[in-house]
Amino acid sequence: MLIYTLRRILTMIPILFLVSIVVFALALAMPGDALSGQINPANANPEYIEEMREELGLNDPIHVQYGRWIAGIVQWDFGRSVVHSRDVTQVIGDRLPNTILLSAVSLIITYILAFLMGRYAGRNPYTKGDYAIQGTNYLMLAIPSFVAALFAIFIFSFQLGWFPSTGSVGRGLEAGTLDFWISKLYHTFLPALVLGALVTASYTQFLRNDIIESSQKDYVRTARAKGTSESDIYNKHILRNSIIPIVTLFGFDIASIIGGAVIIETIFSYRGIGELLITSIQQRDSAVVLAVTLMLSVATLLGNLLADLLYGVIDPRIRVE
Amino acid sequence: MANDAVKSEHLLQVQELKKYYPVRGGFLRRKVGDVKAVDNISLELKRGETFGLVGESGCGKSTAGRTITRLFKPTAGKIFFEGRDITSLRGSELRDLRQDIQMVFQDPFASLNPKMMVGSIVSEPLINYGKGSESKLKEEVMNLLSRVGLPEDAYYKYPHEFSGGQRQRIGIARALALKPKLIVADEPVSALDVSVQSQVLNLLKELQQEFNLTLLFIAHDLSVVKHMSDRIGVMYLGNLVEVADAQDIYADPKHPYTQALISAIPQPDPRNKSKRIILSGDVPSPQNPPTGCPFHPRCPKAMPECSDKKPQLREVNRDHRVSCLLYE
Repeated sequence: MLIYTLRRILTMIPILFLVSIVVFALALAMPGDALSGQINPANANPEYIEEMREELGLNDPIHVQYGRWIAGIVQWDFGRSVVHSRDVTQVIGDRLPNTILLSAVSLIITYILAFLMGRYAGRNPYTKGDYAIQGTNYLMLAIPSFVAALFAIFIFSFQLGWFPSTGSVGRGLEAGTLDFWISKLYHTFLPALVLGALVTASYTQFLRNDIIESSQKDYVRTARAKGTSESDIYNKHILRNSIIPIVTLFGFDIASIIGGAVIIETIFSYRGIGELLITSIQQRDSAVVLAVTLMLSVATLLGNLLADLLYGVIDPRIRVE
Repeated sequence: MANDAVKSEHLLQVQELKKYYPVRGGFLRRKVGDVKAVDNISLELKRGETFGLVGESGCGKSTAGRTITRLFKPTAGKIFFEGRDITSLRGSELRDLRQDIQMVFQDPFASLNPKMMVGSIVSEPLINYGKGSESKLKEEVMNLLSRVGLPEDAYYKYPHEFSGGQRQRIGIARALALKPKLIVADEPVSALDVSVQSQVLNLLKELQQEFNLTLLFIAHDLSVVKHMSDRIGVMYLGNLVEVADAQDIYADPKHPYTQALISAIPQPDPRNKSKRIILSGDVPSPQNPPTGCPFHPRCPKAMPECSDKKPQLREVNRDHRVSCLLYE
């Protein structure tokens, strides 16, 4: 398992290298460049602009610029945000905990919903309850997240007044206190619910189909023949086998959770990475855009790694390797 | 029904057992017909004997085995185990019954949970019935494993680490764990290499002696059945067409289908050429079986009345029963 893990991590290095090239190329393709944010906007003198371009290294060949950028990253220097006038690492560091909290809560919601619905639908396939669950799922899958978010705000915030519609924490609370954390969770719940409920469909369907498939396997018949009770058959023999695709899905889903978070955070004005990315793009804060994009790519890679390793923990046949 | 004579001699009695699978069709999935997997079989198993059930694939022998162990619910007919009617047992009563009737399944690759250790697979039946304390349980499982010829460290391994023959030994150990009275072995060696088949068969025979088991042995390989069985029943299209002692049925097959089957056993001596009976046509669909005798469309000895009258199993010699109009 250790060798497997190491090998798996080593293969990530070339992938990371390629990803960094793509991210850098994308940043070059963006309209405008880092220049506009870093010079005195009042001074339109072409000589001054040319001088600054030279000074900031924007006239260097692309590979030199890339080398400088990557050398900085290796030293944990992602450059400076022009909008925030702070190091990019600090700007991201402020926002990251919020996004992690949002993703975690939404994942928990997804898993709880998918587990309950998938288990029921899998044990009672082709019944009315199963069809109702599937119908609900596909409906949620079909609704775009921004529409669902607006409806959720309208219903739960404006009409019922149960949850706040914007922000990530209440005003006037001191960081670190219990009230602060409760307020944070309270602010996170609604966006997390929207984010989590919308991706539940694939988890539910995976679990349902796998339970149905597993329940027809020969070893389930064997378990029945040796007198295992029905609930034990489902919990020990079927669920343990059926849970695997769901765990793997979680790793691959990190990418879509982050993608969803970008939209949801913007709608809820939730101060996370996604909202930071959007505003940075609007304000041409290219150092932040580069760093966030790279970070999201790395998060996706790590998600896949995590999924593979978890798979090994759950499936003993892979562990042996 | 449960008189003492029955109780002492027969461990299992099956009377006119039927198992139909509904066929659904159309938009509303309405029932449009039945697959008559088991259409009418009656048999008895004496204590300690091995009864071989043979037939080609699709004739319903596996369905019969699984219905007898009540993994399936029979459509009609009665099953008596030790004189007790077990046809419609449910819930905890059915679970209790499983202590006495166990199955060895055909496919040793699919029938073991790939994510359980062999130790857990074999001990699960014991745990299910609350038998044995934790320390004793492990000892007992170890004993079982070594009894079926597996190394003791097999306890901590997973099924995929074993060969087909070894997996089938695991399956046998699992079936034995509860010390059942009846074991239904559903083609236990058909998935194995010929060289391994005989080892597993001999193991089953030894264990049968040792544990005083009654065996319902289901197979399509006539030579395997001959090696194992005291009595043999031949199935065709869900019906039992002939039942007799193993020696008898090979020496003097009565039913035309049995005669054809036995003529098809390969002879080890190439000079000893027996006349093969080649049957024409295919097995009819069990969804729409022929009228009268189910075998008449392919029977070389068919008579006009065979297509109208369904023959019943009747005794032609001592302990030799045939369902064929030729003998009526």
